[in-house]
Amino acid sequence: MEQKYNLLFAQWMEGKISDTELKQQVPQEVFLSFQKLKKGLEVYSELEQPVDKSWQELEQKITNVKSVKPKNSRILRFILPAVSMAAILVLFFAINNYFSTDLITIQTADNQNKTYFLPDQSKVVLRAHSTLKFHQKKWNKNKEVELEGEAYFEVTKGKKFVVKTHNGWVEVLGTHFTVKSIRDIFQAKCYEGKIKVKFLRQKKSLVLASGMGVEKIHQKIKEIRWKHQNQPQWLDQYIVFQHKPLQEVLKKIEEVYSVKFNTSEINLNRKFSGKILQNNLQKTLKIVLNPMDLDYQIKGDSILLFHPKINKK
Amino acid sequence: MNHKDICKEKVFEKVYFEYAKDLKRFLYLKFQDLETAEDVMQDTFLKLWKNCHKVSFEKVKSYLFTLANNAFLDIKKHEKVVRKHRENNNFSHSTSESPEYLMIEEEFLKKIEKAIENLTDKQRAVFILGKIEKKKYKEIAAELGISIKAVEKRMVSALAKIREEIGHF
Repeated sequence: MEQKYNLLFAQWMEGKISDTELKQQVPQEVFLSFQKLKKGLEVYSELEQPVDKSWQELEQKITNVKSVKPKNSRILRFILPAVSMAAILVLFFAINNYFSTDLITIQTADNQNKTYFLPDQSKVVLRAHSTLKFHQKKWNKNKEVELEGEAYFEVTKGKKFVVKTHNGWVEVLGTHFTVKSIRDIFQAKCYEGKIKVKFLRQKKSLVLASGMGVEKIHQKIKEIRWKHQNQPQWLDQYIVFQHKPLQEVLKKIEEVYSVKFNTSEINLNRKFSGKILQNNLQKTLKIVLNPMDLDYQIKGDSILLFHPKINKK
Repeated sequence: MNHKDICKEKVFEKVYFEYAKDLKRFLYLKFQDLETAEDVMQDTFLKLWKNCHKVSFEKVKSYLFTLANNAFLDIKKHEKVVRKHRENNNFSHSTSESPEYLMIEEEFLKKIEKAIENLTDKQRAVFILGKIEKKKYKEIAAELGISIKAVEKRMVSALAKIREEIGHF
């Protein structure tokens, strides 16, 4: 009987049988127990939601409080005791930090990977619906990025590089790896080199070598291993263009790779048909420019496009 | 930067992410209402922010829970007064509280948690994507690389198994 009830419960939860139909098949007390379990699952689900959204609401309230909060008590603590150089310097840096706009935020929208180069030339490919943040000024001293979503990293060798997420940290010394942190899913996969993974609220950290990964969904932790794959599949995404003007194609490339083209010397109306990659700028430029007899040259901040036969350099 | 100064927004944010969920759960079990739990939880953190210089990093957790509990007691006291006033003046007798059998106690939530943990990997994946991440069958199918029928099958088996695990209550 219980087995039957278990199945009926599942079907009722998924809307396959209505309340009335159900009441005809189970006694009243069982129906009430179904309702309680349904509510319990709903409550459980709600309590398991990530707190990002409510943090944003709270942040808003805090901002409102900040504008009203009297700053006296805090400033007095610095100035009253001997007005030393150190105290003034601390105040200076605190204010500087507060107003500094050196926080760089990179975000992707739907359906598109975005490749970005960090100040030390480390490469990040952000998957759709992801956000990456880092402080430009502090970068040389402290290579730290904050990630929400999923990204593939190719880190140049050297100082320690840390990816922080709401589920944990991943630390590297020059390797290729992916990190995924979406709601209660946390995953790190090492493609080359070694990475150290630390989950939030756990003391131990794990060291992973190439071909090894770890995934934590909710509370369950699982090891992942694979062979014959030296980068994630979603990296190989491309965008297809059918007979579209060059201007549109270049605009897309600018978006995906965060670059700027100087197109003053070329005809932007020529049509292009083909695929542009989302993880290899050089290849993409070849694919797009070659058929049109165009070449490119990186000049400072932008990429100059030109006709090699006409411009003799 | 002082990593233990709660008045620093970065530190405060970390504290929030560390304790918000547990605090909301604590409040839900008392109020038996999700919205109220969320509101009081945020209020509690706001109070922490306003008093950040008075609270040491080590004492933050007990400060938060004490504040939240006090808020609960205050609100209940107030509600009692309002209700008494209503009764004394013969106002509407309908109560908006949930019937007894729909109260969700801590034990029950723990049973649910355990039941979900004991699902098979396939069942749990579908359950979490569908019931917690609120994804539609179509999206789940695409994400897991299986048919929609298969998603449905796994979801039904997951729910049936959860009820079986929880047993009599």
